[in-house]
Amino acid sequence: MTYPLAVGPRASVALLCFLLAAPARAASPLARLASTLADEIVAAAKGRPVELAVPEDRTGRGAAVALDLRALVAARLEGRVALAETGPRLRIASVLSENSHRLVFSARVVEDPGDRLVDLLSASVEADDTLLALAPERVAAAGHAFDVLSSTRTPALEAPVLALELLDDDRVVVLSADDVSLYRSDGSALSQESRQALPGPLAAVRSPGGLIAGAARESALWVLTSRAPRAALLALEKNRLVRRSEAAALPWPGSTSGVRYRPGTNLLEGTLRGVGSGPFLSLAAGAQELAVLPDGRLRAASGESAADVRVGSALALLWPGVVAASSADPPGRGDAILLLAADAGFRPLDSLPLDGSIRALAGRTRGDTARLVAAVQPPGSGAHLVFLELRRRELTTP
Amino acid sequence: MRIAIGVTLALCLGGVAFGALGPRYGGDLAVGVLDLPASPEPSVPRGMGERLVAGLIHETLVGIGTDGVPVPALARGWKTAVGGREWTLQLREGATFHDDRPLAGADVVRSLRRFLRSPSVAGTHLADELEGGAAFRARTSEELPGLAAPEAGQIVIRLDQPRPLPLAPLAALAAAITGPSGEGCGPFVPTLSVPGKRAAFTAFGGHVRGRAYLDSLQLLGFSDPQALRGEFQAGKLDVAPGPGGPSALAATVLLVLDTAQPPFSRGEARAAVAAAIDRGDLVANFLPGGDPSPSLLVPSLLPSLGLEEPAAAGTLSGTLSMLVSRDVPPLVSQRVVAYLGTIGLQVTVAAASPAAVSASSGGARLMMWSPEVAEAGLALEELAALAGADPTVRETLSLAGRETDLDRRRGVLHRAEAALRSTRALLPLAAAPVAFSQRRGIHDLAVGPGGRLLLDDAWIEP
Repeated sequence: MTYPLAVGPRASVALLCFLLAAPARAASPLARLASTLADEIVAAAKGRPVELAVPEDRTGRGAAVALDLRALVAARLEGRVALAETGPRLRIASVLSENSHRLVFSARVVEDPGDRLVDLLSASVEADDTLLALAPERVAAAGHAFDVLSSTRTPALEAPVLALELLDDDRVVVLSADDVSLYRSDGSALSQESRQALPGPLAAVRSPGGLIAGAARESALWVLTSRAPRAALLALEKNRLVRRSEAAALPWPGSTSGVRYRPGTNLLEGTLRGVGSGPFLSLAAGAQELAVLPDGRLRAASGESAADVRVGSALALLWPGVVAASSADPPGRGDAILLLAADAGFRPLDSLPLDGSIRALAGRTRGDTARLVAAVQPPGSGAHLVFLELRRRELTTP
Repeated sequence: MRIAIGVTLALCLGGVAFGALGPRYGGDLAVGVLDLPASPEPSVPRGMGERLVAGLIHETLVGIGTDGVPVPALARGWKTAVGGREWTLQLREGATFHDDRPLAGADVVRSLRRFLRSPSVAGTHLADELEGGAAFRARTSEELPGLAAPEAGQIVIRLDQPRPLPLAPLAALAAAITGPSGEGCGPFVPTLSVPGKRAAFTAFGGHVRGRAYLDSLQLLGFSDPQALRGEFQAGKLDVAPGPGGPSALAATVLLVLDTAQPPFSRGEARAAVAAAIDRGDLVANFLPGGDPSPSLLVPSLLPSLGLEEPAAAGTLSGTLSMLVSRDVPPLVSQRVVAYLGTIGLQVTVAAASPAAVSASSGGARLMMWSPEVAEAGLALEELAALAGADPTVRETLSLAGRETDLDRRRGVLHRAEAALRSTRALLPLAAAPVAFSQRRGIHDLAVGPGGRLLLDDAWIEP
């Protein structure tokens, strides 16, 4: 298995961890599916030898999952059916796919020689929604300002993602329209550690917005969506999200009365020092305070504004002076994370094309490297998370 | 070097074809239509404009999916009991009318009682299946035991026997749920109406699927298709009927012959007209994107089996009055006149609104027909009503109405369609696309399975 990426030593270790750890982490649903399939194959074979090919992987989880499944099925066939790759046998040509909640295996059983169709097999198991296997994802920078050291992705999540927050290198908070979840990454999978429903009653909103005001140092964060009537303060207690308090508006740096959503929309309202009274499509605060206006223009509290560049609704601060944002074109098959110089009129530095609309971004930096997570929604399917490890290059030459 | 990087990246970023700025809330749209209803009351909409307005203002308990099966709308779900005779629908919590009054079971019962006595074919169908429905529709009784709201947020429908897709008639716009004073609960609130000329709407914040993206809408009525097209091309309209935008094969170009009067009271005369029309030629030259298969229903409702009883050619004489709906493309109607000329008929043509053409009778009528409910059985009943009673067709449709196995029912509907077509009172000329032109920067306009322009999810780039 090769990926045409510039993979550094750190990424190689992560990839190795994935290959070694994925079978163990993903064992439960795959093992159940393998047991079901083995029974089906034994019934179809009626004592004849069987050639068991590796299923074609259409899950997006990576080829390792299909290899694991093949190995698990083969182990369960031992002593029940002879496995053979030559001579008269039944060939099992299969596909492993995944819909929103289930792993689905479909196969044709054909005689060899002769190619006569003997049987069609299909089996599925409930996927484990609290465990999201990380598979390698091919992402490369379009320009020369940043290197992508590693990139991985999860399968599709259950609900659209409205906002993300990286608490530290391992933990990410995912805000959806109905709830907020805390996931921990071990390099091979994301496991859901806690989930907390948002305060109701939840209103119907066609395209809801969501915002997280992170306060990792205080082990608490504020969350607000345009479906929920009030903002919620969630505390992090022993890896659990615990609802502590509610407020009519979400406290936000630079706003004396906080921000809230215009009812039924994804537009934020509130007066931000140095920016104005909105409405805003999204906000980011950290070393800088930034806002995206409804037409995609970026504006900083420092007075900086974008002359030509427009962005989408996903926004994250990286290094001081570097902003990551989704692109401003309408949703379609692909999108790109734009990396912009916030201290120079939001001049474009680089872009990272992704296969779907980028709905949320969050980032953390450590020296010259940054961890960036994006919620990416391909047309017609659920959003998945893409984790990127970036390293910035020197932007100017002497 | 910094400049060089900036220029290179500007080129790279300029090449990014996709992104995520949207859907966006805000903005206004001006839509040109050929017909505007005189009243916002729920009724059986006939043309594109009437369907559009009804769908903007009103909401129904259920919708119809692309497979003809009901899907939740104001009702968030349902369950069945008593061997399929009793259906309990659960209303969505928090649903409100345009005046912010909560929707209650009593509103549903009142609205459906109105529907059952309306001219809607779907209403007639439901009345025939409900306990006490036929007597209620005939006004011989005010009692309607088959419809009740026993608890808050619940509606119970009781049928005379298990029926296939019993909730499908509730998707008719004539079955829209209204408040005591006629308020709707659709995605847009009407703010202005100049009958036939202009109607204005604003987004309704309390809509069950959430506020629409657009802030407001303006519909402008035109009696002349050329004038409408001219306004669109001049940039005065954002959306207008025509090619280039959303499209769906959702209408049948239908020639309706009056079998009650000569010359079409004779089967030979109707056969001569059928034999004179070259559907392949019509589609190839005048209906791009159309389907010439011999079927009264578009393929998404009932796939054509391609079977056609050959019609004997013949000649006729005399003059024929043909009423043409304004939404029929002019080149199509001219071609049909030419076909009729080849068998000796001299045709005088008058144009009228889709509603007027539907309501009239006599001679021949040429229309773009879309069903009231995009479900094959109900659509065929509507066509049977348009064609006049035919015992074989009625009997076959009645059989379909008792067949609860949907696969077997589809077979019966194919027989009903063939029987209806063999009367030659209705001549399907083609399945035609219902298409709209839109200016750049407008997204997610759609055409529903019943040929209705859907603006709920439309949004405009900033």
